[in-house]
Amino acid sequence: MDIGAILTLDNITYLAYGAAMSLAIALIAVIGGIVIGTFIAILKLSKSKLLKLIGNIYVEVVRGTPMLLQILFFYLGIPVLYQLLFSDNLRVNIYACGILAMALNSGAYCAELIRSGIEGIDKGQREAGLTLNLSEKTIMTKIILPQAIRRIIPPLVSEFITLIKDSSLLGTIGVMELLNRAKIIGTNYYNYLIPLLVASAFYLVMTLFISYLSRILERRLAVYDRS
Amino acid sequence: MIEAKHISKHFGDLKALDDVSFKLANDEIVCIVGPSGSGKSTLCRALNGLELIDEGTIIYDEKVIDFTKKEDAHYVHAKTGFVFQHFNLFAHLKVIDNLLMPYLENYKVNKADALEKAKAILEKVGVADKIDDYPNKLSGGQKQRVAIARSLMLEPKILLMDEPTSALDPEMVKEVLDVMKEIAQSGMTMLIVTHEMNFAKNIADRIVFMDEGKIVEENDPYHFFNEPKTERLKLFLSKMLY
Ligand SMILES: Nc1ncnc2c1ncn2[C@@H]1O[C@H](COP(=O)(O)OP(=O)(O)OP(=O)(O)O)[C@@H](O)[C@H]1O
Ligand SMILES: [Mg+2]
Repeated sequence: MDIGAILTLDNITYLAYGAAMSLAIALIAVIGGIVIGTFIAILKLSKSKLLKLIGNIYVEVVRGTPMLLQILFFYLGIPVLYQLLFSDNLRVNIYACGILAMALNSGAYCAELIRSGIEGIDKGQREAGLTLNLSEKTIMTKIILPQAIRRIIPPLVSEFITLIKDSSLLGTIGVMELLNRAKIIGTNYYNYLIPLLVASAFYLVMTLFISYLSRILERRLAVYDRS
Repeated sequence: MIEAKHISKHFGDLKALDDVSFKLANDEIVCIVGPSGSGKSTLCRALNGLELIDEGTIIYDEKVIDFTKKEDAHYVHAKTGFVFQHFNLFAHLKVIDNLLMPYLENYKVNKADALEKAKAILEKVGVADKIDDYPNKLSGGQKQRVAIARSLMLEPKILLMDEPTSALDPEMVKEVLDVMKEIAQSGMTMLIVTHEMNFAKNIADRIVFMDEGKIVEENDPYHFFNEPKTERLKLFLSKMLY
């Protein structure tokens, strides 16, 4: 086994681009997920039973089905639906499709993180706000959210890390992310071991580095928790 | 002046308040005592809209209050301060900002004046050296004094206090009671739920005894302690004062 022949600068660069792509996909997906998740969390926290139900259904459907299925649904399912409705062919972009599916998926998980972060704030904080004659809006923006956000950020970072790993599922629909590229090199050289190990190293560098940043951030954010 | 007429509050099958009528006159200091679970907190919280009553009427200065209406709730909250057993200081704000934020949200005043005022009040309750600390750095007694300062900042006419010293270590009770006594002497109208019998005896114009969701007996401190009329109060006093 000629390791040197596989570990060329070209191949490493090729994989590094894949890592960058996985990172970028996960980043866009998690931002989309936070936006969608905020919206779903608002539904779930609202007083209306109907809105709550819509929020619950969304979360359960997304969490109860495999992410790969959701990705394939957008890539293979939506075009069929489009054909049925508009009698026209829809050419889907695999990147848009994949990122959208991941963002919608992440939205459900983010919604739960955001909701539990807000609900986890002691109800005495809101009561104190009420007795100090503050409006519901002020209580939310100046008391609940500032405390909730600091609690929500660490699990959101974990969600981001999960998405970096899950972005490998997009290889299935042809996205040239890290794992897909490792497999291509493996095929070319009839050797999967080395490219898979290198891909692992790239994944680990990304996830460990982000965990590390998250821990620093957590410490910064929790100033008022330290006695 | 606060008046509650025949108010009731249920939690499921439990009657936490059972047809309670109660008055708090201007400048009056009333203490509520009673066994655990007798409805003291519920009454105190209902008067401030923290619990919504199922039946009866709550009146502030002749105005019937419907706490589900925003303007009514604001009318009451502008007049009253509330001190909680567990302080409920805003955990993410420094001591000084715990006073300033609500004040600046309520009044359009310049920040320098507000700061002066906040410092003066913190000085009065003896925590002026803590203004830049976060609440979790303070002792229980300090936290409660900051919480009291935070309500005083809004210049309430009436102060409602729900067991303000019950969550404190014994050695910190006095520093908080001292502050409360000072406020009482300044002419504030106060409703205090407490287990501190001696404090109630010294400070109250009237003491109210609650049991099982009802006001069982109320009297001035002398008669309350020396000539209790009901068996239930006699029993309660015999347990409290040994
Ligand atoms: N939010 C609630 N949900 C259900 N039951 C409640 C709630 N709040 C109070 N209760 C019940 O109502 C009754 C009266 O409670 P309350 O807190 O008013 O008593 P208390 O006199 O303040 O007692 P303590 O001295 O222990 O503070 C109790 O039986 C209590 O368990
Ligand atoms: Mg109580």
